[in-house]
Amino acid sequence: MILPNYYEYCCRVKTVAGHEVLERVPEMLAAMHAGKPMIITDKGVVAAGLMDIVTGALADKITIGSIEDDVPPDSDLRVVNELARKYKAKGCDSIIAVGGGSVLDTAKGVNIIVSENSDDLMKFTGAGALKRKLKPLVAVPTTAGTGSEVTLVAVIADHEKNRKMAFTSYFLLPDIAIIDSRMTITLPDFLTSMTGMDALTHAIEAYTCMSKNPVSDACALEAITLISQNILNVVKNPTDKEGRLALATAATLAGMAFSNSMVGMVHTLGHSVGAVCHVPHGTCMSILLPYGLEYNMHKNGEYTAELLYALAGEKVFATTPKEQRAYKTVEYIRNLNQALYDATGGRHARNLKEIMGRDGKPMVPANKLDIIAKVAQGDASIFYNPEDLDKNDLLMVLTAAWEGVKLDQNLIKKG
Amino acid sequence: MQLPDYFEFMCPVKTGSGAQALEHLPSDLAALDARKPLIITEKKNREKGLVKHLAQAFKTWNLTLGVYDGVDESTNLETVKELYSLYLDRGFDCIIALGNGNVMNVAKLLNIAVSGKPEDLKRVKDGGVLSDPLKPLIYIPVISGSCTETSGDACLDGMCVSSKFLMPDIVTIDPRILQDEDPEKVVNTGMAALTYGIEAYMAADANPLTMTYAQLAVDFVVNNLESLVKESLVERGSLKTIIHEFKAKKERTALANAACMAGYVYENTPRGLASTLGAQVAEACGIPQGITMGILLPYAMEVAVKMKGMDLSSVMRPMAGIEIFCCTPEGQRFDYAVGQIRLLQNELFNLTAGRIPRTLEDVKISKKTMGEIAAKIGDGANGFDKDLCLMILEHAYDGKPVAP
Repeated sequence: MILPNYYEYCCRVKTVAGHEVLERVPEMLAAMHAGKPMIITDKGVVAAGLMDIVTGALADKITIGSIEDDVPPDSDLRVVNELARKYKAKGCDSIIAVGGGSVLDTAKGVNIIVSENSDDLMKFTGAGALKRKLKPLVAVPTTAGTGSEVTLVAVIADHEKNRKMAFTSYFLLPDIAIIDSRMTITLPDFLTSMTGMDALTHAIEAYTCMSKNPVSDACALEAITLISQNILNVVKNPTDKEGRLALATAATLAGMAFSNSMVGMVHTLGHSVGAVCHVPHGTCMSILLPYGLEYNMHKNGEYTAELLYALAGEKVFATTPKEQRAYKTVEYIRNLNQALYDATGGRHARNLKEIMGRDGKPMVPANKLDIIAKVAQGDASIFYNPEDLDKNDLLMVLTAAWEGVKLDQNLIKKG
Repeated sequence: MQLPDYFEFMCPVKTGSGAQALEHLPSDLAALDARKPLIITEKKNREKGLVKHLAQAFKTWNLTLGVYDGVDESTNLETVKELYSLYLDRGFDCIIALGNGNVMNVAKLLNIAVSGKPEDLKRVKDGGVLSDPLKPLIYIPVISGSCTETSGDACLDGMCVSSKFLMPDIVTIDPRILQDEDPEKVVNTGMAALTYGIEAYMAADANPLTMTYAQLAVDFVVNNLESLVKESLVERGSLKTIIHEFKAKKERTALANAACMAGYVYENTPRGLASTLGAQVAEACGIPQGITMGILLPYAMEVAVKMKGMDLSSVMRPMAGIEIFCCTPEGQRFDYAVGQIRLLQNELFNLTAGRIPRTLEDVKISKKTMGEIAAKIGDGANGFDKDLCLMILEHAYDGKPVAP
């Protein structure tokens, strides 16, 4: 491993993983002098029966201050303020966030308000506005995808003023991430595949994009290996708890990797498809991932080639000629998407045109690609992509991803 | 890899390493709401201009820096008491430990005293535990050290304490600060890092989180140690020096990375046979413990694989890189890894004309002492078996690999 000229790496979260980890949360809270947590979650988590597991694990050992399950998928300032009010009214002293990205972002927002004893979240936006440790925050992810249990960012919408507030601080990192296999065991097959591919994309972009470093690389490779060894099997055998733990651990590792190294054009385009057409993030990631690797191949092909080892194993790596490994990596991911498509009865989309909404209509009509490309130009992750992209490049990639055909190498401007 | 049913990992340290690393410190401190650091160091480090380098990095930030350069071999708890008054009287709000060994020990213990109540130090000394995070502590290695600088251990004046809260908040590895050192010290660091790294592979709760740092520690040691020892043996003042110094800077940085990462691994992994026995041999023979741990490491690995059926083939990967690892048949990978360690040790012995021992015979330990160590460590308290301990020591004495 070659050390870069300069790098930094930081993940202060204590990660605790296993099959019965929730039972240990009371003692972990006690070690932080807390014993009356507010649990923040959403209706989906409750409907999946996960809250019963959480409360069952905690109930006789701790006083649960409050259970708030009203976090909407696009949580906003109003929700944050309301939860902060309840936190204070009920005398809570810590937060347990059970859910995905939106729940955790909400919990981070609530934590800022209750810890700083302020009613104006706006004061703490941007990087570095927080100066001290917040109240104990325990993150219990339920999707094995986002990795937000180990990220230092929170994004909270203010729907009234039509703006999004971003917060960045090491103090926003949860104190503890609880990776408990029971939290993902009921996740339906198509969500398992989608979130798993989200995590895979985090790890792969971390490894192949411009701000990689030795520690993020090590996290990424461990994550990729765990995902490729388990994702298809878990989609087919959802109750495989060893596989569930492996995928959930991988998602956390992938979160550690990308939050310390940034991501590139797969996220640039994925954010934009999500923003314009409201397609779930993981779906965008899984479809766009091979295209990002193809587009950047002339810049970072050596890294893409190394991924073949983590994805396909040592035998495939050793028996593939060196110059073909990067292409084989891309092919492996396309084949994985196809296998997940088959295993989920077609619910894991392979290209943008076959993503269907709940109403059965295509979510990404071809006439939206132009606006998606325009939105993508303003996404910050575009700066961390190895090769430059102008609007035509973005549109060219989107068009191929819409059809589900390989990128035409002749159309890539190699700068 | 099969994950354990339960595992934990925590490393609260932000690591920054490479060119101009010091210049990142002021903003990192600001993010921790610290603006008046007390630098603790040794006189020799100040004389070498290291404090000046550090002060330069803070220049544009208009901060007040305090410097205490009185740490040396004889530093004791009285020093911590003196620094306690200095820290509070002058209103410092964080500690920068510029140096290894005792510098970091003093810094950690001082941090206990200044973060809570003054009596906390005595309470912890008497076996009490720390229950809250301490004030910001920054570690800047000057040499590669013992690896435990970045762990939660602190020992001074016969007082040893251990807590995750003693781990530094920030580790800054700057090539300008890293100093050339004696080959024996370089090897001591390297072998300690290698041992802690590989013991993570052998731990009962070996997991991918610990493995991220463990594999890097192994990689940086195996791929830099021999070359760095060679560089340190180059005659000063020769024409070659400039070229050598450039190369050595990179290798020193890699070894310092290995040492810091090994400290993170150390904090998250129970001690294995190599480090436990190695520490005892070191104490009995007056030899740096990294070196004795390293001597025992291949034998402990062989016991794990050949007698306990553990799979340690993946240890080869960080040593050899993905390419060579993948094309090596699975059954040969462990032999490669363990052979690589022995090869390294034999070469170090050769390079230093026998100053760096390869076997316990080179260390000149008596058979009687070996028996005593085996009896002490193998008393069952650590889960180690006495006969197994003795067998490892005897094989390491003769330099004879452990057969299945």
